[in-house]
Amino acid sequence: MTEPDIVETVAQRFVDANAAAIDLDGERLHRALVLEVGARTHVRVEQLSVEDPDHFVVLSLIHGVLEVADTAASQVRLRATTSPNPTTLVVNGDGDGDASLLLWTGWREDGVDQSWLGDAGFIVEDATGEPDAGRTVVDALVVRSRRASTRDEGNPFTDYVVKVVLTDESD
Amino acid sequence: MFEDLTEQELLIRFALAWVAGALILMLLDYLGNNWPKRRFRPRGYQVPRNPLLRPRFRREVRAIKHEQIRQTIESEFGTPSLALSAKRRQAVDARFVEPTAPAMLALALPEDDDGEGAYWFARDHDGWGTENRERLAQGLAPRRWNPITGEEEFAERRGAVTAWPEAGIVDPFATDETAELLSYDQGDVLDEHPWDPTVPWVPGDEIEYLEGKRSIDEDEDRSDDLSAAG
Repeated sequence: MTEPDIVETVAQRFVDANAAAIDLDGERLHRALVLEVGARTHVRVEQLSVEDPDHFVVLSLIHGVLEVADTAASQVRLRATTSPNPTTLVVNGDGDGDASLLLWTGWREDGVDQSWLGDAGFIVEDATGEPDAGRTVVDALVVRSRRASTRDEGNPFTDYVVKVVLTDESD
Repeated sequence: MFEDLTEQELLIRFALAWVAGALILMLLDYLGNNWPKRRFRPRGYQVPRNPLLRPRFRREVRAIKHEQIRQTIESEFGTPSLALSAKRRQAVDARFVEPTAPAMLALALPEDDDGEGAYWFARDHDGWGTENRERLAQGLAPRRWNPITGEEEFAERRGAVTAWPEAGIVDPFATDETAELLSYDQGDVLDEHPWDPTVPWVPGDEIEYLEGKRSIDEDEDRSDDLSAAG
């Protein structure tokens, strides 16, 4: 009697680990990332590669709101197809505690926004950022979102690459 | 065969017999533990019999366990510190932070929505993840694991409309096509009949469910779902 083949999805691996990141095939795969930000940090989001236009990135601020395009919200979704490239969001901390920025990616499929399902996650790479006038770069990273594609079996993953640069006012 | 012993001699021999027996048992115990080459190797933590040694022993065991916890934390979050450093708070926040806004529903209408409750069952919808196909086939709510809260989330389902409950995510650059995701309003009926993800949904019976009706069979299914979700 042979054991049935059990295909463990990446989603199940995250559930088993009960963690926001797991090691997969030698890479650190994230489903959510926390970045420490100041009370007036600028968050510059630049889309470097959009293989699948249905992707988006979500930025969620703890202890404050994000200001962008005459909007102030604690959670903002930037779609690959509709948001300007680059987009700069301004942190407006509420002073109740250290502001933290949660980041995760998702995709729209059949008219429904999805996150944290199936064989999906993102890889984080260090990057260098360009300082703006009067502002210094405090953190810069590249988020490489990867998701198993159901449309192209020859290319199992579609890439959505976003660069995030955090800058603060120079002292 | 028997000697005539005085009462004193009898007592001495009685005591000697006990002493000899004790020595033999101690010898056997020693040999059993140490010969050959300390063959007795206890597993796990052996609590000392001497109560004076126990506090020190407990401290040592606690240190070993704390070290294991630190190693786990370090491998998970990149820092071994148990103190409430900024990085540590970050690590805790990443897993256990509460939603910052009340759960506001951002419901999504399927593009080719035909208004039928069985819409999600008629199609092999990969969008919910392959791990949810079996649940959908059983009439159970799709679920996913939220890495932010560390909790399991269930999709909302009212009629043909299905979406994850979103905590007020705003799209500042929404177009006419994407704006409907945020503007769709289900009305007061949802507040009066909050959706319970543990109750199986029967295709076509969603109206009855919203009115709070539930059969005995469904209750049995619900217990199965609770155990599976736990």
